[in-house]
Amino acid sequence: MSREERGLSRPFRARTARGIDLHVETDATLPLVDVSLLLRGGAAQDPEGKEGVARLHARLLRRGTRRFSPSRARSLPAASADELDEAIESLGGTLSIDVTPSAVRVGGTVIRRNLEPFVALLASLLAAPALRRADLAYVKREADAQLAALADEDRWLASRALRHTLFGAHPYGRSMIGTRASIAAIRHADVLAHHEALVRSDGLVVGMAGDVSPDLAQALVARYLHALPRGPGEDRPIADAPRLRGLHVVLVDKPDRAQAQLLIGARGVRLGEPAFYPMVVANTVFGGTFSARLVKAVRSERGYSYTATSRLHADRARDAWIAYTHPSIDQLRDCLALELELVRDFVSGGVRAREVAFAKSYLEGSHAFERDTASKRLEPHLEASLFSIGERFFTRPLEHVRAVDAASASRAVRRVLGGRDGRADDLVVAVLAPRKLERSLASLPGITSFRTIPHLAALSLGSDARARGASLE
Amino acid sequence: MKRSSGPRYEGRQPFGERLSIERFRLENGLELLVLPDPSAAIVSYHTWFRVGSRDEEAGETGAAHLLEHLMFIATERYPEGEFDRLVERAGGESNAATWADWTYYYENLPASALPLAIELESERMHALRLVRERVASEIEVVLSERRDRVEDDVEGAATEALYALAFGPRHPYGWPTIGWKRDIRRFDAARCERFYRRHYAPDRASVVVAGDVDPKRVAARVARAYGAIPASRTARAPFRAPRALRTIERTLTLRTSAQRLGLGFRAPRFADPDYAIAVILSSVLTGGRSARLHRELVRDAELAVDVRASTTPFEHQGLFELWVSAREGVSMTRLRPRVERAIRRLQRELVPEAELDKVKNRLELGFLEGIETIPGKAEQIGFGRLVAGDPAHAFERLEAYRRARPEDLRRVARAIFGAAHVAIHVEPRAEAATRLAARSAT
Repeated sequence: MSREERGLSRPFRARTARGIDLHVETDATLPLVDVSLLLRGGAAQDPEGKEGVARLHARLLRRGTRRFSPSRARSLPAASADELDEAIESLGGTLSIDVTPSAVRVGGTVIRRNLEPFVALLASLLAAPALRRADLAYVKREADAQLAALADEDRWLASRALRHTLFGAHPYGRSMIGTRASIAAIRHADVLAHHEALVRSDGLVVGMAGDVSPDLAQALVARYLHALPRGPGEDRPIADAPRLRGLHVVLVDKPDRAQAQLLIGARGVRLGEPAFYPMVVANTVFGGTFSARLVKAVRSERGYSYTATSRLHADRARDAWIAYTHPSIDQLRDCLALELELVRDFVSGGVRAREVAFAKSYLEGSHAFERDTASKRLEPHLEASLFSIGERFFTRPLEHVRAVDAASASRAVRRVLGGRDGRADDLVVAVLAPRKLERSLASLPGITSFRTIPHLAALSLGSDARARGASLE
Repeated sequence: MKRSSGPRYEGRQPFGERLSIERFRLENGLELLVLPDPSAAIVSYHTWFRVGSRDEEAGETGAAHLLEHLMFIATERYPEGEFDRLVERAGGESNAATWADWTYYYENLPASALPLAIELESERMHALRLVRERVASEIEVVLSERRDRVEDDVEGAATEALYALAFGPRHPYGWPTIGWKRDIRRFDAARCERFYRRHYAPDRASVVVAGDVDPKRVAARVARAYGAIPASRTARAPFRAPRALRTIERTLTLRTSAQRLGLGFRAPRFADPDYAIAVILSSVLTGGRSARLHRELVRDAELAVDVRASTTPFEHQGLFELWVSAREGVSMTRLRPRVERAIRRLQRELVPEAELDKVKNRLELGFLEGIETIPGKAEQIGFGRLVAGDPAHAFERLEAYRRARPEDLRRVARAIFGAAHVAIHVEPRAEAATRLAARSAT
């Protein structure tokens, strides 16, 4: 039984007078502190046709602040983008603003001696951002440039095509970075509205991990973050996407490739649902370790692909289960046929008791590495607070893993990946490869739909609700 | 194998203010470095071998890396696949890396599984089993890795070309650690076996154990497991000095959306005190959003999507690399003069103290993050021992950053940038086609 299971490792938690949920994990081994400010409501809230608002807002936060006066005694002058970057790096800090479908995380790491000015600076980004119209034009140009650079990222292009086919207009199918068209459509008022809805003190989740005491953390929150506007942020729930029926293949045509990008995906599970941990165990059996079925068949026995892995993407609605490999162009068809067979066998045959025992042993043993730093120990508590799903789901994963057996894992696989008749036919295959392979791939048995798009068109997927190329249930 | 005596204790060395490394050596030359750290109930077990791609011959490039792959397959006592199964069943993960000067293997495990790591690593140090069919399929895996990291990757392809240009394609620092494709295809079990027998031996290795462990017990167990493995009969071949760097520039035409430029300058070796200064210089130019070139090219002029600089941490002189990725449609002719101006400024002017302090803070943060976890500490110890000769070298490096003065930066900038350079221009295939069409039309 781990320390946390024995209740020995509970971070400090407090709800402040302004509704901020504060979590602190103290560990003075190194003079470092990780700070996270988690805001509910991420890219899923982007209006249709304006995909990219949340991300542009995040970029805009770094473009400058107004004067920030959290109290009479304290005041930070207005800062330009240049001054903000200088300030963060001069403090020995890193800052990132990450946007996911369900949340925005503003955070970073700083050397202990500079914690207070770092927290003040983070607070000023949220409480007093300049959000200038001219800066919006700047971050839109920047986003366009980044989008163009993604044309070189083959795996990203294939992943975009997979998500678009699997989820269509659902938030998980839309592009978080946006498309050229959606970025152009975003107006200053859209970003201001997003900021207004997102940045509130009530429900803000704050985590501090490392060389910081609960007293100091509380004092810093009261000193700087109580300046945020009151009231709950606007966060609409995300419904599950409808299940896509049939086997759908999308070929992203990119010439001159030595290898293909091959992703097989299906709608997965949501955080908190009973099938979640059985699927975690089952996925470990399928593609979660070097001993897993996918790795053995694709890499070890046939040498088709250096990388062979599968992953459950987890969010508050059913996100994707995705298997990934990158076989050579010559071996693509054989590799795809093999992987489809593996998935079908996974669904129809389930997982065996000895495989489940192995996966559980792996997950239990490796859990120590999920908790070996203060920030890792704090993370499940932040997630529990953010998703309001029940603390034990996040903080006691081993209890759930231990309860899984072969029957429950097999049942979860059948339910999540199985088609109408229990066979694994409700899948999306996204392949990035030259178009010359079209006929060979299309001749695979059991395909419901097949379409080919130029690789640059993949950059435009994700802002057209009508573009889903498959039938819905 | 003959039996041998126990481990010889060689002393204690501080690793920062709170921790110490206990040093041991076996009779067969195996070095053992133990860092007791009870901060988590885990152990990180590293084996660093003094063999890398620089120990290959021309025509057998990629041997060290391919062998690293093969080390996970089978030994005399453990059949195929058993290595990974045992480590994973214990809740561990295992992996490895190869570069020019070294190869290392690690297992991160719950502390209670330390005996398993000792057993597996000692076994594969002397009893690897190379089966013909599996060597063939692993060659396919390596070719796949190469396609992924080099052939279909713009950055990988450009970096490979830069090193070949700087050191020559027949010098070990000039050929890619993963190997040239034609060489990788030529390997068979017998050639891999020869490479293994020549280079894998206890006196060519340092074992690093970090975590919740008792050094004396670890040493006794390591001695039992490794003590009878014979030492190597061959010394490591001396490093062949590369040709002097000559200024050469080449264009690489690739399927990409925008132009890139890679510049390479001869840089100090990792153990050289000036290496720390070179790291600071790279950070002044591109380390973070407020760094000079990032600010000018990415943020203010909006000409580039990315700039980055680094110094290769080689045992011998490596390269100071500087890469610029233009925005789509932006010609490198607009970017390069700005890059050269920033370099000249470093050679002529002193970096202001405030800017230097900022970079030092940034590097200190990176250092602390590098030793935050137990596996991170083990890696720092192994790397420091192999490349600089000092397991606690990371702390010496931190002190070197702190000592650096503006005058040091200018002196080293003059030494690095005042000499010859190599350059790789990456030109998008579409632009190349347009250029050729225009030329043929005239």
